[in-house]
Amino acid sequence: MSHAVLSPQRPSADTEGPALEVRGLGKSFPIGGLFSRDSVRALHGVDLTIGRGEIVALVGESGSGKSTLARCVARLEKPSSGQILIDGVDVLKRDRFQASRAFRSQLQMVFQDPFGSLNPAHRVEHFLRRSLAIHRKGGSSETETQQRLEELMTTVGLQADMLNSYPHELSGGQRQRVAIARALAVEPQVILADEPTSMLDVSVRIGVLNLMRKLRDEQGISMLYITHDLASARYLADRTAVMFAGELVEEGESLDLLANPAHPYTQLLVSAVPDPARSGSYDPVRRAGLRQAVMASTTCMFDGDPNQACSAEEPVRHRVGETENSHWVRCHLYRPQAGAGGHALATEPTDNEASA
Amino acid sequence: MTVSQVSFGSHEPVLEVKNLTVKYIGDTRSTTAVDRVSFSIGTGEVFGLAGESGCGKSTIANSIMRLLKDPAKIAGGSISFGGKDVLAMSPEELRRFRWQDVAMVFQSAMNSLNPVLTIGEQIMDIFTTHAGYSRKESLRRAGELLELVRIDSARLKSYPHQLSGGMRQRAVIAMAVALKPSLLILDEPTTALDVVVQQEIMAQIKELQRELGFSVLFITHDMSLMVELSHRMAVMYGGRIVETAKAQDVYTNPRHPYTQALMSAFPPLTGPRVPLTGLPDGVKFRNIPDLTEAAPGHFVAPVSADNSAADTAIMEGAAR
Repeated sequence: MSHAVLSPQRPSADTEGPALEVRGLGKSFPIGGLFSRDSVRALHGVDLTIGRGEIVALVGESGSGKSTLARCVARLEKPSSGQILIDGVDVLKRDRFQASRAFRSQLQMVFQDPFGSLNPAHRVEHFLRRSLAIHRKGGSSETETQQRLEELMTTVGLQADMLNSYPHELSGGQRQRVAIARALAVEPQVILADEPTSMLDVSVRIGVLNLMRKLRDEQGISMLYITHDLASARYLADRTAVMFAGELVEEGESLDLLANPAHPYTQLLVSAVPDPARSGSYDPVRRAGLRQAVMASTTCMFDGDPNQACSAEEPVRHRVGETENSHWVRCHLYRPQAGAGGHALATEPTDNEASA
Repeated sequence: MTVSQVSFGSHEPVLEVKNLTVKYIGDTRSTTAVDRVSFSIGTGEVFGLAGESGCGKSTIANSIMRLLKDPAKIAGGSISFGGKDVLAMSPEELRRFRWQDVAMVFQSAMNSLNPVLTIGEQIMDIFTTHAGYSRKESLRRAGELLELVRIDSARLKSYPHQLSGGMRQRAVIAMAVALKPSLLILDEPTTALDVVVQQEIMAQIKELQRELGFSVLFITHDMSLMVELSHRMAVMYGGRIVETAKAQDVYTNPRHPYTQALMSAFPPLTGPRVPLTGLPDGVKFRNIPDLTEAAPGHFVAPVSADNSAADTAIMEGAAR
């Protein structure tokens, strides 16, 4: 793998707009019995743009809605509101009821569990061959298909003779590479990767991240990398977006965002990552303060800034630092709908909400 | 063996494991899951055991608790706890040994709570069964225990599903330390939790450890977490220990290539972005020899890329 320099921002060759754009996406799930009108709001007004050849990481805790966003974008779930634009076309309008094959060839997913996402009854070749056949990417002759199969295996760093292996004969890392090869077979422009490394052994995780970077560098594939691991988001992604209670709270160039987190929730996440370099830095008082600020901040760092008005009703985005970092933070004063953030922070031991 | 004599501080070792070998015996072939492993844990010491899935770390924990079931067999070595031979204990002795002397928090232990009993009933169970307290006394102690891990004692009446994941895990840890054991085994105690909760639980364990002074055997694959909590640590690969030293020494100066790969699997949160390489797919170590002292208190199993030198591990597939 040749990556002497990991450029933080890949020089973008695109001039034709973003690869994937999500506008005002919302999703509510009904809860309660058949006649109940209650619903829980899993996503609300999410705006996210992924440029061509760009890797964007989406981070947040479990229950923050990151996987719901991925499922909505992949059309495995029907969004309640909003638009999903690929090449400027709203795919929710174009294919109203279910994802079309055209859509699938533009966007592919890589799932968390490579053990579950590959059918144990088939050889590796079957998965790749099927992708090629369904999307007619296998060329006109059997020799071309065979060549394409071997090419795919080489691209993801596997040997061609593994085409004859069954999934159980491969290690977790190798299986995840097969899953990536299957997505690549379709030649998509966007790959959605939902926690692709969290089920893998520690020592092979970096290899899979490096592979994803290589695909971006060499083939210009855009990626949405969904993770709870801030360190890997920083390692892989050009930009990082932070999700809390179904809404984005902060977004910016990855290094800048993690060096200067502006939203208390981002600060909370960053401060919780185990890091031997700053061991013993846990401060319960500061932690309680941050939690308080996430749920009900009374001040905003941009209070009184004449250029950036605050608002408690509208989710105003404040610009942080230099423009080229495209770093913004949602106004601290903004309150999400009552109870929306309760789940994520309900683990606080001193909270008084006595559940029935 | 010298390794087992190095411990944190000058205290008597609480637990001493010597040349432990565990085999999984099948009909046609058997696998050595733990191979001649030796280490000791001093009083009040936090000892970390790091390694990936399948390296044998949980098998070691289960051997110490004598929880191994067929087809696993302890094929050799000794485990002594406070001078007593654990492997020779009678069922009655074992009953007392478990929970009173050594307690264990399992991976995703929060799911081990009984869903149809309240938290209070489950904690009281420990006191009435293992310590023989009256119900009233048990209830009082159960309340104290929850407060120790900063859960409101009103929660005694809650069922497990009414608590968050973090609270359940805290409750399980409280139950583990209920009878003031001298050794607590934590097998991936925070793997199923979010980072924020994980950090709070780790802080809680540290605080309890300072307060009650028990020793800890901490098992995880997360090196950053391990270095933060442990005094001393060992890295396991394929059933063998490949490196053991003070946690800070392993962090600043990992000597075994496998330890180095584990360390670089965690990208840093600060500084410039540098390319990292994990262990390449297919690299394996074979014939890992006994540890030798590479620096004072820092023991490493020697490695070489070829088979030329005797007594060194063979690193396969490294050229690729």
